[in-house]
Amino acid sequence: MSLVIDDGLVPRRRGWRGLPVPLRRAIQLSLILAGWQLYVQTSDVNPLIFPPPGDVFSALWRGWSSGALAGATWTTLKLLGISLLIGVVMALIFTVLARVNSFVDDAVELATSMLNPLPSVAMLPIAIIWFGLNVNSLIFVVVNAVVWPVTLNISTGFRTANQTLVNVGRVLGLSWWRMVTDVLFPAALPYTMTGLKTGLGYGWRTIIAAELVFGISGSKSGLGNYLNDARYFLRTDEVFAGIISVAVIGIILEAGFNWIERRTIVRWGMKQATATIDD
Amino acid sequence: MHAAEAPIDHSRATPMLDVVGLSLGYKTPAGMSVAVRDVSFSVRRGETAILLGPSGCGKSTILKSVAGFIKPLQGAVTVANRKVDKPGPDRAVVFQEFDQLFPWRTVLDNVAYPLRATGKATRAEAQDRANLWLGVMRLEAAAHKFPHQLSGGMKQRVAIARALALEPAVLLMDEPFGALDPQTRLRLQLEVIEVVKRTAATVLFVTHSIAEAALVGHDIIILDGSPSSVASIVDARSVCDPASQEALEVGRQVAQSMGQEASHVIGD
Repeated sequence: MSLVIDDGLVPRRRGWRGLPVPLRRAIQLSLILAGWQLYVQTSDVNPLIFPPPGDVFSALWRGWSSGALAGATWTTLKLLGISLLIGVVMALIFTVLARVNSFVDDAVELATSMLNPLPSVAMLPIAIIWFGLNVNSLIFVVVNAVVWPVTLNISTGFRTANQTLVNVGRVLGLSWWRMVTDVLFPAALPYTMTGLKTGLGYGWRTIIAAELVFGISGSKSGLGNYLNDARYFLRTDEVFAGIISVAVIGIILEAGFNWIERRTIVRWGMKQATATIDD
Repeated sequence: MHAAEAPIDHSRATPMLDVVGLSLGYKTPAGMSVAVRDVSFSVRRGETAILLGPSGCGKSTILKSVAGFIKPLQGAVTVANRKVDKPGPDRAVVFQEFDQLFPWRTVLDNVAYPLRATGKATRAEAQDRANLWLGVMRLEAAAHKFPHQLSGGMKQRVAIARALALEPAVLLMDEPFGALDPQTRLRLQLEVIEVVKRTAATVLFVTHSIAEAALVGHDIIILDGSPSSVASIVDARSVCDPASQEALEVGRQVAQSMGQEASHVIGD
């Protein structure tokens, strides 16, 4: 994921830092697995409480090949996607309206400052009262998790857009709408990407938490339900398999965003390439 | 070439840009603060006028007012017989800042986009004309680069190409070379003189450099005082070489009316 440029200016590192990143990751992961295996074997911990890595991997394999984990993941991702879409569209509407009308601008700022710091799972009880024990409640809380950080970041991006570029737009006599689409929005893209990443992170955490609290609902259940079921039946290996799946999907989503960033704002020199821990 | 037969049908007698009794200022808690008082000048078609003065004398403010960004307290700006009341592509601006190019557009698209956005050309025409203007500014090789891959001098050349491509009635240049190193600056000055002559563009150029003023301008409008007004207007039409006797003479005249020693001119 890191952009490696060998221009001879950076002295070659020796020792651990000199090793390629994938190898370093692989070594560290193996050490964790070895320590885990060693602990389970040497201590007399009950495998029902703390299963060895082998059990967890076979649970992962079973889960993904039988479709139970894949189905749960798909359900959760679909919900997340719908909520993300609704949240982003709402955020765009808010920021554009705020640009046109100062009353809306104030209202959006007030709502953002009140609701952004609120962990949106806290909205779950009220969502259940309003919408009942169904998918709508989940979408409500996840949209809530997404919309405020995205709004906050896009409007910051609009406010801090380079004034010279805005003046170029004024010289061209752009309408307010073209000023938004052709100047402000692209100028705010670094902020928007940050907002989307934050929103996605919040949304991902919120949906898993909400599903956990929700328990089983309807015929299709998501990753949170999968975790909860596995706990209920004391299938600890499946609990671990669920956690690993949640973590890996989080990493993949983040990587997807970094990929988009490299093709847009990094390519345009509006943002430095993502510094990874190896640099 | 497209710009050579610039289709603006005003006789040479009427000025392209006319500034009459212009006063500019801004409101402060204590009342009105006047920065520019009763400035009048005009620029004939195909000529370059320089607004020259020390930093903070309001020369950029006058240019911004001509561009339409600042409303005058008094007086009026007329461009091609139309009174200026807001910014418009007939007064394309080259700013001092290097970040005036859209970073998300290639060099070619930075020049082509304004032509599309102002409805002056279709997508294909805009592409062709942008290529033409990149050729004029000798930027063909950079056409598909993004602005962040260019040097400061290259960025300013793209900004000039973009402004010229709009074929403005008046090209406004706000210290476009102010942030460049001396070598690049001289090269760009000569390039701009050549292109402006070739395309018969009318230019209003802001600078604080006497040498630049003497080299680039036909008329040098010297601003002085606080609030500033026109101290004098020096004719620099005789200068065509920065090292010539004429250049020195004009520099001496300008320096005199700015109350400076002529010796300061040389190294500027």
